Amino acid sequence: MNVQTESFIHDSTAAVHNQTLQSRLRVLTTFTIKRNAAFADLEDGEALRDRARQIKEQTIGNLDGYLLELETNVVRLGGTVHWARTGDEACAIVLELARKNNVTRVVKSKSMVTEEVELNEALEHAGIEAVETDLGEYIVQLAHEKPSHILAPAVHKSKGDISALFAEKLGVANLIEAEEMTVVARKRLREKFCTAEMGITGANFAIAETGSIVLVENEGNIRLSTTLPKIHVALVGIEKLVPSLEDLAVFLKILARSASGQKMSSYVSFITGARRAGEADGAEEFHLILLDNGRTRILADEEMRESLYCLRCGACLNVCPVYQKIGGHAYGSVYSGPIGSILTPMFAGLEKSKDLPFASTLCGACREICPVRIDIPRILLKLRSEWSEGKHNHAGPPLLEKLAIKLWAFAMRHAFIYNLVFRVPAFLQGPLLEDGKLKKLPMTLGGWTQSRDFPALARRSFRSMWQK
Amino acid sequence: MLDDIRRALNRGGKTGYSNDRPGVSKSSQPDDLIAEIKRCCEQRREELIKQFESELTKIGGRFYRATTAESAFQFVEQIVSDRQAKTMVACNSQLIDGIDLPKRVEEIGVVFAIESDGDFIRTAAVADLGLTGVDYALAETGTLVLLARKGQARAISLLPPVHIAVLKPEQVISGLNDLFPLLRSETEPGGGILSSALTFITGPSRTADIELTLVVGVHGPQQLHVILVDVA
Repeated sequence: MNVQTESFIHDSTAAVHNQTLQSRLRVLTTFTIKRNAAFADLEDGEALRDRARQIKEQTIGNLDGYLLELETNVVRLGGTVHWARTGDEACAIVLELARKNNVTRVVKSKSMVTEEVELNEALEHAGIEAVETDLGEYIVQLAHEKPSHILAPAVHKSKGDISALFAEKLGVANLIEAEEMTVVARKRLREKFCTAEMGITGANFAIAETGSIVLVENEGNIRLSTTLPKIHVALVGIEKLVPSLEDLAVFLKILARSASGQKMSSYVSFITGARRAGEADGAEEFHLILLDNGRTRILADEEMRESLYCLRCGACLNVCPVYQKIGGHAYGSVYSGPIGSILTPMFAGLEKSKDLPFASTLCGACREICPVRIDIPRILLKLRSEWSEGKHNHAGPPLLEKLAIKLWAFAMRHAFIYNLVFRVPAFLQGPLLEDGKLKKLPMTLGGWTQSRDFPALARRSFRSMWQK
Repeated sequence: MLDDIRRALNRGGKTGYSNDRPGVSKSSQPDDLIAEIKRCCEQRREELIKQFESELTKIGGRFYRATTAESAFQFVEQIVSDRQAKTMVACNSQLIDGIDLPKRVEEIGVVFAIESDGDFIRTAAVADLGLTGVDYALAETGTLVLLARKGQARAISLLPPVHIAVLKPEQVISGLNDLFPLLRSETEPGGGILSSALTFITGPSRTADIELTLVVGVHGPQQLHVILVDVA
């Protein structure tokens, strides 16, 4: 997975000062309001979330068995199953299928996992046109950008931006309303759907007992991608499994509610194998690619394992005070927001994305809203400690920092020294005070006060007051 | 890859996997469960229909209740005239019992095709209206459930800008908890539990990708009409 997370500090700072982006990001609260209303409507919402988590634990803890059951059923019903250890292997499988069938055009529906393996780049490199068909993804693709939100990929763009983009790239000028732009996109994309030889999708779930993949959407582009082209390829992470239809029902009740506040999305498609004899439409070939790409590594680490429960609903992005200020692009990875700050280091390596686990206030809003209750703050802390302990081919913190922490620990253990250390600065701080606050600390301590004020140290400590 | 997974799970030979699913009807007297679901839905029929109507209209679908086949067709005629439709594509010609669809539709000046007619996708792609039956309707969410098969192609409820679905009262059930056991009970021996494509349709196609403004009719139909044919 290719990431630009090394420039996180720079990109996030720029994002905070980007006024257009800031005004776009303010709409995110609507998602959360709708989500909360949808859950309030559900009688046993909290119990369903517990049940969903339990199913994920059970399934992921026995993934080998369920994967085999899935494979057996897909094959029995006329589909083909491919196993891909890495993103490159997955791309190679798709390219080989495309080559065998003389595919020149592919229609794609929104899929985080195809972004993860950079399938579009691989297809284009092989001279195959890959068209994103979700409206938001289409806009982002036209602009040569990456999606900035799991659910609303173009949330960072204003109507004006999109109007200008359509004028430049599609030659249709003066579009003002969202309806008009949607009509233009519908027309353009319909042509692509009718001529593409291959449709590529991800999947929200795969059901072991039925051999089906399940796709949740609102626009209808996924239905078109699986209905019109001759070949349907689904690229699915191995963590997407659920055992049975009854288990799936639990997830269908909470997914759309968490993502967009809907009771049910406009369309849910269960694709089971290829088109059968006598049917008038549907793909003639169905290929399921089961992707590992670092997932077994996460599976092996019991403290990290629960990050595989993620449904990619996007709810944690909408409530995160950091995401709300910096948007998705600053994260430099297809997975943004709180869950992205876990997934990106795990997929791409912590050494490339060391800033992400630190880009959190640990307020816990993400854990509160997560439909499967992933303890994101706990995992972020674990990643921070791994980094600080110098794992991941990293030398650990600088000597000065280590020394400071040692001195701190020493002072904390000796009351006399502690008192002394803190009384001295309380007397010396005078010249640094501004409106009763420390706004600019000297030397290396300056980092603390770069973007916040430090309260003035009290003249008398709590300890001395207590003693009296 | 499976070996990698087994190593990662490090269960020391033990497994919690079993393809017997407690709580799944297959292993717990399916016939009783199915009979109970059917009895329950039958008893609450009127309430379920009302709930379905209310949920469907909330998300922008339109609901009509016809007490005769003739009045059901009149609703179709009304939609044709409102949309000034010229062409209609249907799954099959027996969607409304007692109505000779091809003949009646041609009579009102609309070109009629069904999925077995020639280049069906091309026809469906330019049709003004798509007419289908359904397999179930879920009252809790206002959802239509369609199983793809011969005589129920996928594109008819998808390509035309208007989808008209014809529904029977006994097809209305409460929700997913009823649906999945019912689908499993209909499994043909040796076949899969589900048909090649099972589709849930809940309202018209929609997007909010541009400034979170709701727009209906992106890739799928802009309008969804459901006609309940309730012939006593």
